[in-house]
Amino acid sequence: MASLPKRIIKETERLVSDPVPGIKAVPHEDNLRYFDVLMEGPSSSPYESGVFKLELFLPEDYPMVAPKVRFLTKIYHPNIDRLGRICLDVLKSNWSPALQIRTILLSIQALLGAPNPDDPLANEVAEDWKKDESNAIETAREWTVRYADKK
Amino acid sequence: MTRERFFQAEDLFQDFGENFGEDFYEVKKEDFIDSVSRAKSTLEPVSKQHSKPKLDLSPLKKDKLTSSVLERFPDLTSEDVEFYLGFTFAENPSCDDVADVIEAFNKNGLSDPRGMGFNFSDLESHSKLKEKLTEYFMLKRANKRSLVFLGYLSPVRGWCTRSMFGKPLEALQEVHLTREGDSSAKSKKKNPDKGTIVRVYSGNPKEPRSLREVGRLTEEFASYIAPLMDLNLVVFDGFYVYPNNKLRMGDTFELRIDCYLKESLDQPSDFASSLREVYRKRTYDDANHEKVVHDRQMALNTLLVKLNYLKETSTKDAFAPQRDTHSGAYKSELTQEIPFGLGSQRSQQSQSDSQVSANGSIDLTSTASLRDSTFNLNQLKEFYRVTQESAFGEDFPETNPPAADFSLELRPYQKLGLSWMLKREREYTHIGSGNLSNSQNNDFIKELIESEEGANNPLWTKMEGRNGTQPFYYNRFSGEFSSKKPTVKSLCKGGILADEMGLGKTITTLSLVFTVPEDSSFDKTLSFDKKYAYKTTLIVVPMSLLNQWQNEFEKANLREGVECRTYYGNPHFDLAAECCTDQAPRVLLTTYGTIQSEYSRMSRNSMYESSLYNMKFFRIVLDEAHNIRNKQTKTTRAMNDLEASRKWLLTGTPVINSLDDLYPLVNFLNVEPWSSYALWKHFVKDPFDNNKNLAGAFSVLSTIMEPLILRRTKLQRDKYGKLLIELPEREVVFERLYFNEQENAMYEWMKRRAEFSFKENMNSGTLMSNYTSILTHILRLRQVCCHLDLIKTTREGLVEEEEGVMLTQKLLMSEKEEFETKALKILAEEEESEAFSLDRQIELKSEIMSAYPNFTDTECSICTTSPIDVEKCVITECKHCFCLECLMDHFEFQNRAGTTPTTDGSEDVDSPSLKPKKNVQCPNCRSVIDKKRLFRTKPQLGNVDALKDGVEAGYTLYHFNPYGRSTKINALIKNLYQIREGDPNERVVIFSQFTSFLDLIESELQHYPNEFEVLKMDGRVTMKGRQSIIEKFSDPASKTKVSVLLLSMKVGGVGLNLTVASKAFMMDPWWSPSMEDQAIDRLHRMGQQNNVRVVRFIMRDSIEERMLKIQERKKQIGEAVGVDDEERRKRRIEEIQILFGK
Repeated sequence: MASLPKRIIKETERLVSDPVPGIKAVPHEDNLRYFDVLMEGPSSSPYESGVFKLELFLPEDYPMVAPKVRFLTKIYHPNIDRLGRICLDVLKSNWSPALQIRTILLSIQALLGAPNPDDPLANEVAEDWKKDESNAIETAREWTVRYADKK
Repeated sequence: MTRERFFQAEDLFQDFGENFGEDFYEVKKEDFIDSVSRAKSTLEPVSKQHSKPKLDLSPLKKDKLTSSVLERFPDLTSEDVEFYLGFTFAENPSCDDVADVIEAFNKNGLSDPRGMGFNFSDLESHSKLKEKLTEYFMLKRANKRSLVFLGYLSPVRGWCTRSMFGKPLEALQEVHLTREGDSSAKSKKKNPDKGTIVRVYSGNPKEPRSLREVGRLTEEFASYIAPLMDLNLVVFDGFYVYPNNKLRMGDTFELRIDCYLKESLDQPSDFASSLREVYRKRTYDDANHEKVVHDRQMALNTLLVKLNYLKETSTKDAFAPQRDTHSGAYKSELTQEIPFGLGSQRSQQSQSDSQVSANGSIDLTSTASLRDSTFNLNQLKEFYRVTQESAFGEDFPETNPPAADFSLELRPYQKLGLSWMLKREREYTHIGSGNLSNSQNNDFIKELIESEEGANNPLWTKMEGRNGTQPFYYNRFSGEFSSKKPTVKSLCKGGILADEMGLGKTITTLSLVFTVPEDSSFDKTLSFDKKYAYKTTLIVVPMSLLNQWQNEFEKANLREGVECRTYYGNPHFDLAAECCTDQAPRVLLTTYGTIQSEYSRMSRNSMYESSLYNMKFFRIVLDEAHNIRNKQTKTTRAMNDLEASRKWLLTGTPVINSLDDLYPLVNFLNVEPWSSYALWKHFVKDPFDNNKNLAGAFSVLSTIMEPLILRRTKLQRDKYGKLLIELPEREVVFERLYFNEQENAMYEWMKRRAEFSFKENMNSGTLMSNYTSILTHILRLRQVCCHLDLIKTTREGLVEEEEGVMLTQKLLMSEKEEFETKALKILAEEEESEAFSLDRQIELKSEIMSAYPNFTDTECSICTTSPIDVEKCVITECKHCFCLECLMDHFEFQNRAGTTPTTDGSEDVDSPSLKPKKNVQCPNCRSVIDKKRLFRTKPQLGNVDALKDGVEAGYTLYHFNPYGRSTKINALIKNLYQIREGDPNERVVIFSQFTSFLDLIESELQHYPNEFEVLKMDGRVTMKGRQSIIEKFSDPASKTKVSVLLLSMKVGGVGLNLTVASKAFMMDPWWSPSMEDQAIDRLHRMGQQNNVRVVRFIMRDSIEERMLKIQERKKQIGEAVGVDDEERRKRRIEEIQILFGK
């Protein structure tokens, strides 16, 4: 693999020296493009009590293309499917090279706080959410307790 | 066996008769025969069976018996005992211990076994018998003194064809051997095929009436005697031996046959000429004459084996790979048989010819599809395999060059190479020096000399004369004789060092020069030959390597006064005076060009005295010897006329086009008889050209080359299984690039034109005749792939390849130019229309200026560089700053993705986006940006008049032209920056085949004087210039700039050593993959310390990708050579179809 672009090194350094509150991203030692991410559920959301594991990978063409991010912890969320894939515009068509790992992770965290069942990835979850939001939030909370680590 | 022993013993007697006394002739023959027949009569025939009595006398038992008898009779010699034992056993085959023998001795009158009046105690009489026997045969021979006595065959068996009446034949009675039918059959129509019947007559051949047929020889003997008689090569004198009673029809009898060579030894019809003869006659009666030579050789060989001159060798042995080089001569003897072992070839022919196999592994035409090509890669591989195999035996010693003179440390295989070279020069005493203990070494050398020199010319075998005949020489491969030691013409001193590129042929050769710097056998006090530069090795090299040789020499040399001089061909310079003295330079370097021009001058002007051609060198070395692969070129002829005691050829690629390339090499080395082109043509070229008997020709070639050539490859392993050279890894990466819009438009337009022209020509069948125009189209497309500017120019030397095309191309160019420039203009106008208006520009500029008073606070959001270099900065219409490279990447990615940022992010995750291209958005603010509507900045220069607005800010803004550079150059610069980030002291080599492209790259890189140091070398650079370029490039002083060497493929392909660099870029693909490999090998060779990384730029979906396909194809089928022009053209057209076809 070609040498690591300066930008990635810089970003990594900043993630370590100046971490985002509630988010921890640590690169793998053997592959500096691969990050283990721990993300706290945003307060006043059903995910509040949990810490979620994610993986983040910077493809060869990063930052021209978006990083690949996926939830490893099971989560009940209309925009996150069973495989942990995330439906978020900045991860796809709305990616801009000006965005960074930090901003992307913040966007994901924001997504947890503001589920968007109108642009669903997990259709069943979205249905539930739309039908009976409070019940769905309850399920989300249960799942958080069941699957996510405690804060 | 009795009779055999009898006559063998007689042979022993010859010791006595070494000096023929005159009185020899006085011996009365009758008396002698009388005594012998009396001796014979005491021998009772053991049996009348047709087979001889068999005696299983094991050597052990024989020795035991002999020694026992010797104990009893201490006066006897062991030969004597053997002599008598023979008699004893003949009569009493059952006796098997000493007692029996003694008893038998006694019973038969040990004292006088043959009643000849002498006994064992009477040694005088014993030797008298010997003498008498000797004399008898000598007398016989005396009549044939003009002939060479080869020896005798005994026993030769025959069988009686008519019962004998009257007197039985006497022992030692002469019989007459003939191939003629008996006289009664004469009137009848002769049967042309006499088979191998050899008739035996008694009586005097001069009086036909007295002749009586006795019988015929058995097939065993007749089979080789008959052809010899037919060919009139050997005279056979028969003597009747046994039995001494009357013969009946069907009885077996035995003869002794004296063999005389009919041809005189003193006019050795040299082998070459006789073969030439064959070649000449061939036209009339091809098969027959070939057969004559073959028969002669086979029959003589058999005879000589029977006469114990030669060892019997089975064909199988001859083909078996020879590993033992210690018996080098014997080995080459065997393998040399292949060329002339026409018999074996014939048998091979009968096999299926796709599987012809000399040693079971040559699979020349393995697949039917390759059958047509007369020379393919398999053959080349096989050829190399054979030549490699010839390398060394296990314990062939390594040689260290004298440490006091030679500073460089050789690698083990180079030491072996040195040993081999010394062996070829017959400098045996040096072999193994510095590596073997003295005694070890002496043994080895002795062995080596014996094997090498003992048999002198490997084609010829020395025959010890029998019975007083002088030693003579026999060529078992042609069936020729010579009384003189055959001149060692074919054992030229020297050979071909064909180690693969990068294995250090130069160093190996220099080590030879330093190990044996002068002709020690040359005694200048005795010699009148003043023009012998006995201390000088002339090394002829291509111009580009002159300095490298010089440098290597200086590096290696440790002794003051030992010099390497360069000869540039000054007509007033007396080379001979300089070199034929004690102070002569050890090495004289010169170039092919120098020698060739001197040669031409000499041939033009007969008065011109070239000192180069008036002297003889100790040694000549031709580097890159494939330069002389064409036998007709002036260079080749010029080289051949140089004189030297030792000649060496260095080349990594002895075969370039066809195996015929080897002929000039062989010729240069004076390898007899192959220097005769007629012969070469007959045995090597024609078979390959006509695809006839390839296996035979192949083995001929291998056997010629095997002793001459040493080739090792990088992949070869030494005897410990280690690779000869462990080179760092090499990585070739393809970087596939996308055309920018402008390039794409141009390319598509040119491609349509080319396709149109191609189809039209294909349909009308004029593809061949418009071949050059097609090539021009292809060239154009390739140029567009590199840089649009390339098609604007009609510069000469634009392309170094395809020389023939150049002229036509220039003609075509004139009309083409218009189209192409027009096309470019249209593109430019289009571009203009989309760019800003001037007003908008000025407006924006001032806005930008106020937004960015300076660049200290800027950050490129794409690569996070901060601040952005003024030189690299690009500013969008929405006034955001980026690095140029980053933003261009962004454009590229966005265009390629084909997606525009949309507000709905609801796409399916896995589905590929197929949306049409839309606008690209600014990474920062997502407003639409356009490549053609960008600004660049550059630092404010002292002299400002252009744009007032910029003055205050300390930088200037200018409208960015996105297509100013080609995609490839952009990619290159990006790569170079990356390299620079890794190590600012890096060295990079850039290859292209378009010198004008190199020019463009050069001028582009010169925009970055702080980052890159640009050097360029192409065909236009002089020798001196090249040298200083290389020096500059490899200057080890640490710098802050990346050294970039621009190299044209052709210059870079040969000789250069660029191991200081480990990174290379190939800007465009070459037709032939091997050329590219060669170029990469400039870096990836001995001395390279780092992993080599090569980046190859290829434009996506362009002709370049198709060229890669053709490269693949070439790798598969191999470069077809030996095919005629027509064939080659057809192949080319197929390639063009690959280029255009869908």
